Amino acid sequence: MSLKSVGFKSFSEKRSSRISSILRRYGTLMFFILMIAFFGLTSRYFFTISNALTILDQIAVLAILATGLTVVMITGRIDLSIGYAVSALGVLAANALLITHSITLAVLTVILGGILIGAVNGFTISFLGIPDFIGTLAMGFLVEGVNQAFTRGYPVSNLPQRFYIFGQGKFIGIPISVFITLGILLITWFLLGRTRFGRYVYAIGGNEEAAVLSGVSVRPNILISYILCGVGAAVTGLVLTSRIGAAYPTAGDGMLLDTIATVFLGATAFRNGEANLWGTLLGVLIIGTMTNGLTLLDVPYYFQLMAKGLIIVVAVTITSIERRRAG
Amino acid sequence: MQTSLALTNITKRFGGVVALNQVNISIESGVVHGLVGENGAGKSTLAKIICGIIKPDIGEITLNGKPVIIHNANHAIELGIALIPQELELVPFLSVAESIYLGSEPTRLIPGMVDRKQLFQKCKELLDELEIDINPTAKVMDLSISQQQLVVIARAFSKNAKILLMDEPTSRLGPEGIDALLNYVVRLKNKGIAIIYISHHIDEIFRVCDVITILRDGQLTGFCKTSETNTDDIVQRMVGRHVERGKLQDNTDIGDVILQVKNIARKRYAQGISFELHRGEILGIAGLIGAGRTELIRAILGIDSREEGQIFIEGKPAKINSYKDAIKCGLVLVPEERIKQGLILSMGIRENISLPILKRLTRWFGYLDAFQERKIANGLMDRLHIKASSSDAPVRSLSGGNQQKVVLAKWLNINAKVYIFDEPTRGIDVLTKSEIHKIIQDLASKGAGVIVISSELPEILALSNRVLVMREGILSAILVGGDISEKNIMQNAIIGENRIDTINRQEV
Repeated sequence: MSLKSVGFKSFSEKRSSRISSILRRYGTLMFFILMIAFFGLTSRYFFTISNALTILDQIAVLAILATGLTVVMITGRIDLSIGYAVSALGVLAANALLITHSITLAVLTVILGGILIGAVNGFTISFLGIPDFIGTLAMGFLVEGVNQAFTRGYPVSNLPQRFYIFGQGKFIGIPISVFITLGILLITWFLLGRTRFGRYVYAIGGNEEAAVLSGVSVRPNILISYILCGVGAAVTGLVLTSRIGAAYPTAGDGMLLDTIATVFLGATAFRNGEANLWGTLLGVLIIGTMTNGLTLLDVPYYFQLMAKGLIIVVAVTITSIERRRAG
Repeated sequence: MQTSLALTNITKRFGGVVALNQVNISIESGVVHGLVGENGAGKSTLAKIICGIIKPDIGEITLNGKPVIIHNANHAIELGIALIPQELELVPFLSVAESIYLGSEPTRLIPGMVDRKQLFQKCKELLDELEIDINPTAKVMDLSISQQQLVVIARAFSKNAKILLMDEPTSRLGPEGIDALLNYVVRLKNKGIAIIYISHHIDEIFRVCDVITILRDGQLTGFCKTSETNTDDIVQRMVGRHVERGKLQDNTDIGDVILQVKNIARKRYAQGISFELHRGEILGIAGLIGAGRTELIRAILGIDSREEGQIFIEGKPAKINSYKDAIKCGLVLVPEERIKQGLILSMGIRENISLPILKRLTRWFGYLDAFQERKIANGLMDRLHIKASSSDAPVRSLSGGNQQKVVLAKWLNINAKVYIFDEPTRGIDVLTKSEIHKIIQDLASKGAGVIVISSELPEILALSNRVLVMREGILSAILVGGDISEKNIMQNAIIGENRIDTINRQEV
């Protein structure tokens, strides 16, 4: 009877399983580093500060939205209304600005709008028991409908110049949007990592039945997570409108898939296939850097789309394999 | 067409556990062979070996005198051995004929096209021959459970079964269904079919079986003709261990009533159950799997809804409509399945342990006091001897015994009035088992009321001051002091006389 049959790993087996576990934990990060190296070598312009800032500016909007969505996805649920919500909330911000001539009031209004959308989502899903997929999808349609009815398809423009600061302004050379993103990231990091709420969210996502049997109230926490996602959509709409200079009724519609892809991509990083904040950040960086790098290399747009699609398929596959392996 | 199947010297191990040890059993045409034993005695393992689902480590199988190796379940079916499982796996919206011939439908000229006329014709012939009165075109979901069972039996015969293995066939049948089934079994026997009848219901065994094999802890403890034995004898052979009620501590001061439940009812699972629990007392709840013990507790704690019932804590009525209510009232549960219900695998030891008491650890702005949390977790890890590198270690990496200790640790943070343990040492090594038993007794000696649900009789005997025995959703017996014995528990779990009159009976 060899030692192997008793379950004793030989030295080389131990080494290879350690390598594979490192790959599992940091594979996505390593991929990112490799990608940066690749673009750095193939394009002279890539490794410049100005390019780095460009990347950060471009991904700010995606980052904010993805951060909000991450909270919901940690609980194991999804929010399909975020794209339409961004569009509608951008329009709301613009209109509030035009009516009140006050940036502060516009910001307040849009955040309240985000809270409202999130609250309705959260309520229907946790208290009425409607499945998250259907509930948020329906909400998205509802919001889009209201948006279209209100705007008749026309953009809301003629916004005061001072509003552009969110999306286009700079402070010590760094875009304000990046600061806003960092702020959102910091707040979310604190909420998820240092508060009771964050602990409950991870517990519900990790094993809902065990969470209930440990005395966790599932419903209120789900509600709050959707509200946070709504606020994320609100801030995204604000920055997006500010960047464009006008609120287009369909501005955010296409963001849904990118954002979901980002969070999934992030789930492959650091936490064995479960949604997590740093992973989402990495996902955003990967998508943003990839788009930027490929553009610098003059890769045509459709090819970029294919690359994005491929990355996402690989990411989701790895995620589900990891999930299954972790039991 | 005489058939005989003999299994000799069958031994099967799963890891370190011996499930079957040199068991012999032989099955003949026209004989109904009963197979009885406690949970874990080895009945299902033996059944699986007979049906080809697993192979024995040691032992021979002979079919009609010729040695044979049953390679897999399909091979067993080819050999004429059919299993009628406890869970009837039928597709609800298929017709009877389609269900019976699923996978072997008669086809027409174009391969792949089912000859429906022949299908129903063949089915009618089969059902007639088996004397089963069911319409071949009826949909399975419209049939009663009894009828569905007959469909499963017919399916076995469509494959020319000569040996039928029935696993707890009456578990879901009502009295008329049971009658009908047992009559049918006798008819099958008279047709020359060999039948193995596995059941907990001793009365059925005596009604329909010709011979009985009794297993206990993987050993064959008895084989006899039904006519030459009686219920007592059978139960004795099922249980016969000599276990001293070796309690690690004597009856400590048992105080006044801390928990009283009246008339707890939950559709199908529990009917009108009442009992009391005293401070410092360990109340064991015994019974067969499916007797409703876990369901009863979940109904009391508000985890599942209950239809009726009142709960009194320290004499005062308590409103428990959710598990959170229960916790607030001081009732906590260490659940049955530690991974599925007790732990969040993605988190570390510390985070799991602190989950129920996060409110206590919250400072301003919802911020968690990580220092305090670590202190509490480390303290508990020391107290319970949880072996891990640190309190941050993921629970996923712990052994079963250590995992169970983490689940326990969670609730030791709370000074509960009543601790309820559901199968606290299932699948755990002996040393950790006794550690956990010590912890449980410790809790009782400090004045809490403790309830322990267990399917392991030695555990019930070692821990309990009193034992509640449940049977099919009713309270079958309450055993005290010298009455607590494996035999009494088993008897009341399986047969019992009448249900305890839970309205009038006075609690000791």
